[in-house]
Amino acid sequence: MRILFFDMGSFTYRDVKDAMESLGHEVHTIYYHFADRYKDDYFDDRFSYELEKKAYDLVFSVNFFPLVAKACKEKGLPYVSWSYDSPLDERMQNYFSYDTNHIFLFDRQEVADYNLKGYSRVCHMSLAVNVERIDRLGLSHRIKRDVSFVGKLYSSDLPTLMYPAEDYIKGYIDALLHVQLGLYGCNILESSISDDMVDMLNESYRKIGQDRVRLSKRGLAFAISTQITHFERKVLLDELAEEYDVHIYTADKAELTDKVSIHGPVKYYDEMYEVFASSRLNLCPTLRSIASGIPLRALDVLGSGSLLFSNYQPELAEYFTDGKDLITYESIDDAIAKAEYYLSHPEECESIALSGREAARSAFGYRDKVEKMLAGI
Amino acid sequence: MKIVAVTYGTETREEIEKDLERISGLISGLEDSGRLFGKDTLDCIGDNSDIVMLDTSKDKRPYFSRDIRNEHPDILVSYDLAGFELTTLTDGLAYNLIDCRQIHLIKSDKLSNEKRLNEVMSINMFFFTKDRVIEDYLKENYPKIPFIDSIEKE
Repeated sequence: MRILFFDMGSFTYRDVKDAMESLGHEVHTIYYHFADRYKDDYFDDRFSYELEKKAYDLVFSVNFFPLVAKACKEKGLPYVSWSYDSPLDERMQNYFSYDTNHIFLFDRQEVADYNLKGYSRVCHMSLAVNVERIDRLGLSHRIKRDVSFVGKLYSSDLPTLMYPAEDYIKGYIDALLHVQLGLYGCNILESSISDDMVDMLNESYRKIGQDRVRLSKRGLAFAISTQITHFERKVLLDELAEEYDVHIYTADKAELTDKVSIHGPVKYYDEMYEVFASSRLNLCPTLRSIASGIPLRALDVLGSGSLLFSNYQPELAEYFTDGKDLITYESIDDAIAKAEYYLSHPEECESIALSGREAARSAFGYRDKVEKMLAGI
Repeated sequence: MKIVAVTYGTETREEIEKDLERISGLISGLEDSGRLFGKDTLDCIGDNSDIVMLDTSKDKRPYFSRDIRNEHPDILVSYDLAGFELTTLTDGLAYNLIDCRQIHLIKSDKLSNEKRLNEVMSINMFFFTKDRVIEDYLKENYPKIPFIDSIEKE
């Protein structure tokens, strides 16, 4: 097939393109960075112009782009998107129903939620890792640090959103946050927030003159999720740094104890894997809004032959065995206890990391995933 | 209309204004120029543009591309691939993250960042060469360039 690959600088672009070409497809790329993914007159016109220049069999993108979906719908061209973003912005649902869409998400629970709402074009496809490309880096795996974390700490809007709320709502949301904090593999946030509560919150914004703020249940749930994620990541890093050599690699402004070594962001295709390979444990607490799926970062760690240290996620448990392929924890206390154990048993860490890589290689290859996604087109 | 011009310090404001005027005329004459370049952007290259000049020969900070974005340019202009060495975390072109129309003028046949033209480039980028010789060379060796034309016309 002749595929037009639309990209906006995704991490997985190169691996997906290579997989497509290895399957014999002809791939042409269009790159464009949206200021506004929902309105861009120039893009509408220009993309349509580009689609007219050659006959394509389908358009593909990593992550879902509403204006790409709209253009493909207008041209009657299949549009396949495979997202590592989760959850998707609510407004994107307005573009889901086009019969030209084939939307693949890695979080099975998120897919189920969309299917329940009637969005049948949304399907599940876990993400992938290119173990062969990582192998070619020739990583030394000489351990230089105890624990690393590569990623964001997240700053949540929750404190701002709660500021004008009534005390009852503040108390309720605080309690809900603490319950969800202790729950892994199950997301109760949206189902625990009533429509009345959201209406009361929006009313409280209007009372302080914030008429344009309109919070949804999902938006509130996401704010709680990012607050939990921020808390969990910060606590784990700070606590572990009391006893161990802990490093974070992030573009965020990190407010952590002085004992955590803070570094800037790392390049995706090489520096990141070097960090993984030289760290005894690679901490990977999932963004809490991802209910069941395996995030890209987790697969990157596994594929590099480094030890993944993650919270419990249902889909991780389907493919990987705790204690054999990776280490998972089910509470902050559990995480601290396991970190202590494994950091004092380095030989076990090594064998788990190797086993994890082979499990990732066998079940999460790009070629297989891309072939499956394109099979139905 | 704000134009950010990234150079190696060899172009004057007057030269940049003159080049933009020539290119504006050139683009207007192209088939489908409105769809390719965006009519509203075309209309705005003119005397009333505020030109901010950034000199990469002096500024080697790794976050220089962020400074460009913070200027919120309506059009980005570069000379001889100045700034093409700036990268994203996936080693792509940092200019790809700047969401405005971009005019990349190439006047020299010795480009220190030439190999960067092997990277994926945004459809926001428009390359104009000093002459057809440079245009033909770049077209043949760098097929990923989304648009290229020469200022020199027969």
